[in-house]
Amino acid sequence: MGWRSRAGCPRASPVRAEVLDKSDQREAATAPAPPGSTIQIAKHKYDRPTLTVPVGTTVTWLNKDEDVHTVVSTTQAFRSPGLETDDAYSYRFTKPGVYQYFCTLHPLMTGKVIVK
Amino acid sequence: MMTRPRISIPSSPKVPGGDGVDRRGFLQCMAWSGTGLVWAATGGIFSSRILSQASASEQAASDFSFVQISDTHIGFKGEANKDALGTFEQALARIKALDPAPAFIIHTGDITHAQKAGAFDIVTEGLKGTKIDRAIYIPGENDVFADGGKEYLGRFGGPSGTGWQSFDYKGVHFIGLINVLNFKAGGLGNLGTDPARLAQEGRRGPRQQHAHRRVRPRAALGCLSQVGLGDGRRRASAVVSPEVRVGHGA
Repeated sequence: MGWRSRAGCPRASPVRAEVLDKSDQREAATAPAPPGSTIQIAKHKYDRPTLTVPVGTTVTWLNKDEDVHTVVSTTQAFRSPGLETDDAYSYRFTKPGVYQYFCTLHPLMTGKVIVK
Repeated sequence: MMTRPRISIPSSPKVPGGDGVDRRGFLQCMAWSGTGLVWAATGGIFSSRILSQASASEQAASDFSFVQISDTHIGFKGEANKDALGTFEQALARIKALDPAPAFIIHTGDITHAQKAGAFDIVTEGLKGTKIDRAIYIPGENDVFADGGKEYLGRFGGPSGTGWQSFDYKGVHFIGLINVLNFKAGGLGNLGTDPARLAQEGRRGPRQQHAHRRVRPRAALGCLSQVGLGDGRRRASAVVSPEVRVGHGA
């Protein structure tokens, strides 16, 4: 008895995660993000699924669930690692636009950041 | 009977819109129940009991039995289950105690929590320690999300991307869906671009079906996956209607 494989579509090429440069991380560590730019993840939802921020804002996602979640742009503009409970991920938006994102483990979780 | 037996157990969604059981509740439930089910197949009809309530006489009277474990989440340390490893070890002890021994073990995914290093080793070695000849693995999203399935597929085999694997056992055709790769925003389980091939797979009989033709005009079918099929489910469910699902609703 053994598995017989049946492949479907080929997997997309992996995309390198984009991370903040060190100056951004230092800034995030020393100056708490204003409350307007933090999105909490709880009960399998981003608590503000649509967030509008000015250009240059660093948005932080904080996972309060016991499940692992991610924050991944649908255009791969940003991609968090797996966030466990109380893990956070930040990304600085430097260009105007609408940034759709979702959780790659639970794809019904979706959100967007509008940068003006 | 020309209809296939339908296999179903209560699903435990961790997505909104299901039966209201969240992941925390599910993990607590699994900790309580010993993270496993014993399935007994008799004449193509399946019945299940949780591991701690396995019935020796029911197993002995069946054509064969197998164990399904799921969501071991090795590496999880949250409030819902502070001792995921202990829960797994408890399940192993219960599997070892089964008499008669089950034919095989199927793990329906989320072997690890957030792809923790070493978790696959812990689970595979643990299942080998039960002395049951074969363990079969179906991935959950926790097993593949960080590296696109590279480590999982390298270890457990399977198609290079989304797809499925199948095997036959004593007149039953088992299909394990690999539908947790390449999730799309707003979607659910991803079967790739070729659900028609899965439909074809669902119509396949076991290779040894001829040996049972007089008593079983059509093969029994077991279809297992970690997550529901989402948009693809309606198309696929026409021919792959029996589903055993653990972990998520859809």
